[in-house]
Amino acid sequence: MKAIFTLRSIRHKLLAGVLLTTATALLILGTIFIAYDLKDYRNRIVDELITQADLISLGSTAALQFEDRETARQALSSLRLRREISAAAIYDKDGKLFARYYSVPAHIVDIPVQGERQGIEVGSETVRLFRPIYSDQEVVGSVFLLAQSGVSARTVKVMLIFVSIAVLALLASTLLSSWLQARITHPIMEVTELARQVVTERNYDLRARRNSDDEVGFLVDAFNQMLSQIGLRTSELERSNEELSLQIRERTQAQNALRESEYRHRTLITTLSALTWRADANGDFTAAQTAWDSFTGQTPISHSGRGWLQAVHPDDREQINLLWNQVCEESVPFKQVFRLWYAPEQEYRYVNFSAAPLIDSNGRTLEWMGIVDDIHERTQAAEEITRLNAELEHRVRERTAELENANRELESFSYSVSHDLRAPLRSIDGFSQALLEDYGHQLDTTAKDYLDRVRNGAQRMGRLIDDMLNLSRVSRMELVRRPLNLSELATEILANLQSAEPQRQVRIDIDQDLLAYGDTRLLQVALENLLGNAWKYTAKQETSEIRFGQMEIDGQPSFFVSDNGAGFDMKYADRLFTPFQRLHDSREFPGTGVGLATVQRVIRRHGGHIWAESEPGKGSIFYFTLNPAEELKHDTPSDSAG
Amino acid sequence: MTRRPILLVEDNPDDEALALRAFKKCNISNELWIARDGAEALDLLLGQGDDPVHQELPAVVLLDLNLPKISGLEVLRRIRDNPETKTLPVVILTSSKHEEDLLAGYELGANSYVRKPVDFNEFAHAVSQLGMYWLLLNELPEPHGRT
Repeated sequence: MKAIFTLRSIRHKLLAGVLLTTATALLILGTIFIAYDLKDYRNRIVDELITQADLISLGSTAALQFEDRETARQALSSLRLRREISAAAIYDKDGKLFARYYSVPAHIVDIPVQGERQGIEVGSETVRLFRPIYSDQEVVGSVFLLAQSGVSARTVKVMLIFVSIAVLALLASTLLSSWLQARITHPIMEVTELARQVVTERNYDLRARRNSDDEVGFLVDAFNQMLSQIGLRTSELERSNEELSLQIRERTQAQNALRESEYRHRTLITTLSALTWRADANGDFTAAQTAWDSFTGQTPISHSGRGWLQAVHPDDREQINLLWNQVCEESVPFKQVFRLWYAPEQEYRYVNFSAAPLIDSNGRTLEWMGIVDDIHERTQAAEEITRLNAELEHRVRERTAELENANRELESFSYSVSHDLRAPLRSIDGFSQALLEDYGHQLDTTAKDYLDRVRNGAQRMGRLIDDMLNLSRVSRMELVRRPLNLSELATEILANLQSAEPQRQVRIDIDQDLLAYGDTRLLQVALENLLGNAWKYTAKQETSEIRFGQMEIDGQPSFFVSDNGAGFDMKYADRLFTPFQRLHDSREFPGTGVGLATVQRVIRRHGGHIWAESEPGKGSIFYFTLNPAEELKHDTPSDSAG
Repeated sequence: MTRRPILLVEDNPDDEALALRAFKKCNISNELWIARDGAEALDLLLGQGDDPVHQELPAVVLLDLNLPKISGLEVLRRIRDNPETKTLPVVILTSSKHEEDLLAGYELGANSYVRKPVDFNEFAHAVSQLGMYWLLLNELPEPHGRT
């Protein structure tokens, strides 16, 4: 039973109920029916046998009295018509077998030897019956009958009938239950299915269909109503939930922001080297100032009120006191640097003391708070920097004065060189010439040659002095830059050279409009030297070729002066620009060896550089660049001395 | 050609001799006054108070810059400051090729700036040119008050 009710579906429960009921009814009915039928059947058989036995006993009474066995036997043989009787016998009054009958010989053994007066024994297969034979109320003997009872056959038959009926009945009740199901359980199932759908989908807009006006119909209505109620409540709940979660989110955000801000401030405070303090509205320190006390070594008692001013350096105290009183009266932020006693090191340290008033909505000062920032090192460093700067300035002034002195000396030196060194040279040359002119007739060729050599030497020295002065002038002269056309400058220089030596065959090639930004006088000197060299060193060529142009080298516009002259060996190239260094014999190509040094100074002062390429006998090419912006006043200290 | 004298202000006797030789070579026969320092030159030109040594002014002054006592530039400044000599032609004849000297010379009113070359021939040539210009070509205002 328990198993039935644990079935999950109502449908199954209903079906099981109907079938169980039907089966129970059939069982009870069948049992009663079978029992009754079998009993009735047995009774009828027994009655029939008794009647038969009585008939035989009537027919055999006389035979027994007369001991006429034949008659008795005949009476028994009439039983042949009764197929169900398998054996019969007649006994005398002592119970001795008197006559017997059997349908087949096999039944002989079934006939008892000794007869009994009366008794009935009904078995499942056979019925044994003893019946007394009366004659005038006196028992004269007894009859025995053995018959097939047919009870088991009958039982089987009845059972078969009953089973057939039961099967039919169950079939019918199943059909009936199905029909009932359709009428009763289907609407319930629908509602159940809908309920499940509602639960899983959370869709409260679903509605059950009403099919009948019975309790189920009422259930559907109630369910639908409930659904709409739930839907309403749910949407309300959801809305309020949403509002609530929004509020929660907002509050959480606000809390987070607050926490972050608080954390930021706390971090800021802890990372500050500064210490914080608080004072009441009057500017008096309140009880706990742990940071202040650990810095200054004061105690809550000693710093309370205006006691904190005692930690300020005595020289600053009075001023701070006055300022603080004023600030407290005006309730304005305050910032001041002063010296504060630092207990751990037992010294006064420079601090930046800043204070800000906390003002309520009514403009009333609630309290003061602020920080004390130890700026001692910074202040010391700043003082040190100021001191060092002053020292540096002083040294620069000293050095400048020294340099100015040296410059003045150099200037007077070069002045005296130009002035005083040349005067004797003029005398040497002039009087040598006078000797030649006035006393030439008294001198032989050798003497005249010597005098010529004296004059040459003097003039050469004059040129050297001039070139040296030029070199030093080029280094010292102030650089005045302006746009200029180097092509025009070069053309003019070469024209002058050509006019000085009109017999020379020179092919000149100058690129048009080579522009530069530089000092005209200095670049004039540089080009004069470069082009002059080209002119000089091509003197031995039948046709001199001199070219001035510009090309790009290593991404930089570079000017060049090339010639087809004597050239030089590149292994001496590093000596080219050293003053008084010459790569050629002065008899072959006269010169002082200062020209290229001068050119290099000019180029360097223009922020450029100069280099050369050459091969003996194949001409040379001098490149130089000019930095349009940079100015190097002096290339190197050692050079500028010359 | 004016016959007025030439004033040579020169402290170096060698240069003086060479200058004379150059004048002679160029056939300049004007009287040559020599002053050996700046003070002497000023005495010659302006005299002490109202007592000038010479009655007339030279045609041209050849002035060295590097002079004992009073420097050449100071001499020039005083010449130009004096109303009587302020139009006097002054040629600076010096060894110095200094830019500063050159500029100062012209600023103080020098009429010319000539550098003494080492080569005597060049020097003679320069002197000849000078004489040619200042004695022959250049027209001077009539000297006043002294003639």
